[in-house]
Amino acid sequence: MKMEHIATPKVENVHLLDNINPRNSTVGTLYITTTHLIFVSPEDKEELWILHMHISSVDKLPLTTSGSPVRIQCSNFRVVTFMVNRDRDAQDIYTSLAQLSKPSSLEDLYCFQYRAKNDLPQPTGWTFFELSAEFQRQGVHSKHWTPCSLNNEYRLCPTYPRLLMVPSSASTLIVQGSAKFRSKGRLPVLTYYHAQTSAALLRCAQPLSGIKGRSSEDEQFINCILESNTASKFLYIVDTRPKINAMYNRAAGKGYEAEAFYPNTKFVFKGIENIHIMRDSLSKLVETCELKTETIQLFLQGLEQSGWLKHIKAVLEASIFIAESLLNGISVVVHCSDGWDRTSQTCAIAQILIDPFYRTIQVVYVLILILILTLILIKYNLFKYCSGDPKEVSPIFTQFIDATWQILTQFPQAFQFNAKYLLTIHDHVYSCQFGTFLGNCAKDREDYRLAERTYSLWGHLTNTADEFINPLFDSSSKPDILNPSTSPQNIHFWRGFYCRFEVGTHPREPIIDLLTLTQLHTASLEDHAKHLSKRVDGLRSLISSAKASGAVKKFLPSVVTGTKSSTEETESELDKVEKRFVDLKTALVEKCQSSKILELFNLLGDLEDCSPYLTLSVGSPVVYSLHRKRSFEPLSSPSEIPLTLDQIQQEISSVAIFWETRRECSDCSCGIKISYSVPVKNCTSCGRLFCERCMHRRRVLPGHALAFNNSDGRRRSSNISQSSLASLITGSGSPSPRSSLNIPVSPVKFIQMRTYPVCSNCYRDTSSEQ
Amino acid sequence: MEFADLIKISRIDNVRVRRAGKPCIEATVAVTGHHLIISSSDTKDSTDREMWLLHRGILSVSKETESNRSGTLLLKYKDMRVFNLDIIGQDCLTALTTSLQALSNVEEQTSSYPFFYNPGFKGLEDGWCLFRPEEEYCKLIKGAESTWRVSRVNHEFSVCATYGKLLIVPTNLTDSQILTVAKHRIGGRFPVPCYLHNVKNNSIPLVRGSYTVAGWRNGEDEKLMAGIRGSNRKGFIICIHHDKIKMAGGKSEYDTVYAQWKRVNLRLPSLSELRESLNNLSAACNDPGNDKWISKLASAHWLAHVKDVLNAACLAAQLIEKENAPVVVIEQEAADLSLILVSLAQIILNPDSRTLHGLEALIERDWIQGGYKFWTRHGSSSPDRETSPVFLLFLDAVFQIYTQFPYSFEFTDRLLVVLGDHSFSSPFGTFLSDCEKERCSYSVREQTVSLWSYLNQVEILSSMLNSLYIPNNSVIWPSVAPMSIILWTSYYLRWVQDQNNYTYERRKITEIIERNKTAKLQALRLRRELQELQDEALSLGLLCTEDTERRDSDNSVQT
Repeated sequence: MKMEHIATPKVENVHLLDNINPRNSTVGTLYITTTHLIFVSPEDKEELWILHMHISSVDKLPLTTSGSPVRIQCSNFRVVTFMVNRDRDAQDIYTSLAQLSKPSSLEDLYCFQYRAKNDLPQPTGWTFFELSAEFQRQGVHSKHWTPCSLNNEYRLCPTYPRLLMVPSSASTLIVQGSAKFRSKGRLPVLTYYHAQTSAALLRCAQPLSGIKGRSSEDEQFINCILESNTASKFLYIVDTRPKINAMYNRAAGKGYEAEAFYPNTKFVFKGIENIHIMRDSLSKLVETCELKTETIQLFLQGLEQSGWLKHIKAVLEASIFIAESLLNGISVVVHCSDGWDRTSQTCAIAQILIDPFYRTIQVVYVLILILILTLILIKYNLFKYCSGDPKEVSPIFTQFIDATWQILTQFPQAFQFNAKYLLTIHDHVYSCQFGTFLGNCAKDREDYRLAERTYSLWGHLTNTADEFINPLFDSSSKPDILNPSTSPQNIHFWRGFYCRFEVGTHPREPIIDLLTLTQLHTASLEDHAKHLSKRVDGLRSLISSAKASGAVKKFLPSVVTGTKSSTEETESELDKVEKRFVDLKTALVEKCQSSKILELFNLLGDLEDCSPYLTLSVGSPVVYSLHRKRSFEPLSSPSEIPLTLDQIQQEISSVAIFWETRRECSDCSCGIKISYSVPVKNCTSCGRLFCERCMHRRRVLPGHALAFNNSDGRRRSSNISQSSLASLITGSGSPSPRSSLNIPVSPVKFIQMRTYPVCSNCYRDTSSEQ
Repeated sequence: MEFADLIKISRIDNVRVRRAGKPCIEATVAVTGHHLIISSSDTKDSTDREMWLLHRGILSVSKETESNRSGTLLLKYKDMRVFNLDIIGQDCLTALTTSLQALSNVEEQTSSYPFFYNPGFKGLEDGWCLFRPEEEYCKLIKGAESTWRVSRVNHEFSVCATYGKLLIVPTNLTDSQILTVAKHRIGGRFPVPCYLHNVKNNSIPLVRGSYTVAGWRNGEDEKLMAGIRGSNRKGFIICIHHDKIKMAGGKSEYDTVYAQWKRVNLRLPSLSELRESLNNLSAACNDPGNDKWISKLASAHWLAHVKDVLNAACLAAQLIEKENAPVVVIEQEAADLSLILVSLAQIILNPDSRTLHGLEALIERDWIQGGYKFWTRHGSSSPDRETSPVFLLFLDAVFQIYTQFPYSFEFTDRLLVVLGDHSFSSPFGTFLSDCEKERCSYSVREQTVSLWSYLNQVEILSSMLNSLYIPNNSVIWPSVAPMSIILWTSYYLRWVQDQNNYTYERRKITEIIERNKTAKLQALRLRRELQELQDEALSLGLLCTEDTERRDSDNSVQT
């Protein structure tokens, strides 16, 4: 257990030094828990939480007169320096952190201990993605492409997933021959199929042409790929490396394809540098950001010398080349050395460019892409997490996130998610809080039984989706392909990423944050208005019918009795639903574990039938939230009038029309000072502002039970928040421009139910009333 | 003067127009007295169909001869645009070059475009009457009338040729004493307050003035400084230098004579450094494919200059807000960087100056009345020592603060772009002339249209309003860290980069804010309606409170 590593759990009177001006400091207490390093300063009302897994290095700097400084560098580019009074304490902190941040065994990793604070069930998210379903969505032509069973036992290639898509015309012999000819057995397999042009994107490792010269099977295999796309007479083989690297590899027995041996192929080098150069480049960049008394000149020179933006540009250019070829109907085979770094990057970005589907947050499928990445990519995670070879650590993923951000800044209207989403994903790649990024390949992940033992990041993200929605997203504009400019003037330094924790350098009034909050506010108000107008209609018809019948006084008792009977009915109904719900839940969990996604969706269809009382969180198909009790309310059709004055009053006051702004609010209720760097959220119920950590509760707006219109057959939609939801989440309501959507994207959309963040107080109030 | 004499060729067909970052177009080029008109039919971009370019905006004209038959005219504009015109025929090329050179070098202000411009709009209010110095100055010294008064001593421009007719002076000095003080200062530009900052019922002045004429002491000048200091214990003099030599030998009379004042020396870029810097930046911006972009940006030093002036303004604002000390900014002639400093300090300190009207008033007060040589610095084309983009540097610094506080400004950076453009070449008379005296002698106010008349039209105004604006009454402290200073792409790169995203973003932001407002109003309206209906239902006995319900059910149990 980790406890033994903690030499001193608490050190008082520690100074947190300001990075810009070390003479400024914050005094507070440092706590070391099994998972976090926490610095609390009651005077300045500040808290700092650092996950041990984020710590990339701890240094004990030379003693000074004011104490013993300990410097901590994190993988999310946070750098903090603590000044500890006693050298012994500093030594303790240093050794504890050094051990805690590099667990010696996999079992010590945070994800195996992590339990979700909210009621999110553990299997959520593990089933969001299935390779076969994704290929179906892409509309892979079954005549030309076929799943290959050779890797079912990971015999063909241990670093590939079980399911491989290969051309139908390739025989087993050819496939095996090709695998033998490729480094690490990574033969060309399908990553993306562009249905409009039937061009395919394939990824592989470099051929072993240096030793074996040529392989007829591999040549035939490439030819099969070419023939699978009848529209084009040739295909591109893209080697993402600089030519010199490829030639160097050739001397080592590997190398690249000779155009002469592969008829009808065009061979291209793309000149993206290797992981070692990238790593050096990033560390130079980080150094530049950390310079203290620097001028703009030094900063810009450092930026230039790091070469980081140039590398980003190279990655983008290669990706654009791939995307454009696919759009022109030419299949592309991509490789670098082993086909897991640069190849994954460029393939993934090419797909973001070409397919709008990958730019949506919708039910989290966007991240399939990244999953594809991880499925086939060795990310050296294990080396990184546990103390391993630092040579293999590389900022490939950081670069991927950065490149995606570059596209996002150039096409803000095309992305459903915002930069915060990218940052959060990047954080969790290193946090190890979720099992999603653990392991290097599908085989590893199965071996560790991650899906059963850990939470999935995707489940977590869907549960808090509204933070990640890009307010500038425009669902109506869906260009076929994004064509970002790679002019050096357009490749920007991402301050929000590399200097994220240098809070002083950022805009004090971030626009995107305000817009995101405003959109959430608007959605809650529009929902509220809909409900209010329903109530207005109900009351109006009640009054007019009462007036018409003239039996005003006589009417009262009947209403009361009516109430009672309907309540009883509802209760019995509730029991039934409850039972059904429990059954379904069990079934769901089972299905989730067996990861049969299609069955899961059928089941969700069933769930829909009983769901007047079921609350589903936004964006997640499987979050059958246990909050449902909060939404237990009788179905209110216009004829069924709210029965009491208090109820109306409560409904009226349940949604805040005016929200507190940052300027009006100095402290959160937990005592933390709300400075501009603290992420905040408003409670939809009372409108007050809280720091993000105090706002993890969600609820359906009162009076907004999920109701289904039973008249229009199988696909029913919630009549409550469908439109506002649609506009907020999917825009037009259509999740993808593809017509060939035969996998379960559409059903999921219909069972979404808008829940809104509320503060703990309001949450308690509403739950006690139920 | 007749423009016809200067126009050697009035029209050339089949000119190939090349610009960085945009496709080549075939066009017809026409020259008029004030404009170069490039019109083309083979372009999709509607803004490219007909471009009217004021000759006043030309920075440089040069030609490159490729062969006997054709050559290229390289045309650089002050708004960062660069055109390469491929012209067939040596004669045409030479004629066009000489015409443009001559037309852009016309130095008589009265023959400039504003005197010929006939506005196609009827403004609601005349911009010339919008900011009357009397009212502006009274507003400025409101609440501090015991220390400051408005003086008419400069009515004939006899005290200081480059100041306006009205001036604010301390009450402890008579007009004749002011006359003596003015003689003691370079160019007669004696220290005048630009802004009074209210801290704890005490108004702290921000003052700018020129250097003293070295040599002897002047009792009146000391009295003026004492008047500025007022009841405050100490004050600060921010002394702007442009070169290192002066810094080193910075032994000034201030240290001994004005013992109550603490002197801070600041080295800020000189006029020629700024000019060089902007030229280099312009060259880098118009070279979009260059891999050395960042190092070119670094070596242009423009961002460093922006950072320097921001830093200096923050210092001035800090001394006023935190130390509650009066600040006097002095510069050789107090007509360039000191203006940037005091204006920026106001943007930081004064919430009013962050409104549209407030910024216009600020520019009118400190730049136009204050005697910034718009004509010499911005209007002129001759690349001599006197031209310099000082006002642009100010706008850029405002942009930096704006990006850091996008909810605190009533306007968007669109306004800043427009102001920048009009300062270099404009159909309006606002940025004409070097000082008030010149403006009066050319009857600028009577004969030209004010830029404010144009800007304050509803449709123009609305395109510059910031929908995110929430009035912010506090002081705003911008960050001057190197990564916080960014390139103002919507100004410098607007010709080479697609600006669609920028417009899209602004539109979408407005949409989101408007939708939120509508939703709030609707919810409020429905609540009121429901309340009324509920009251009605209650009076009819159709609704019951929980209490009555419970009582009823209790009754039924009893019976």
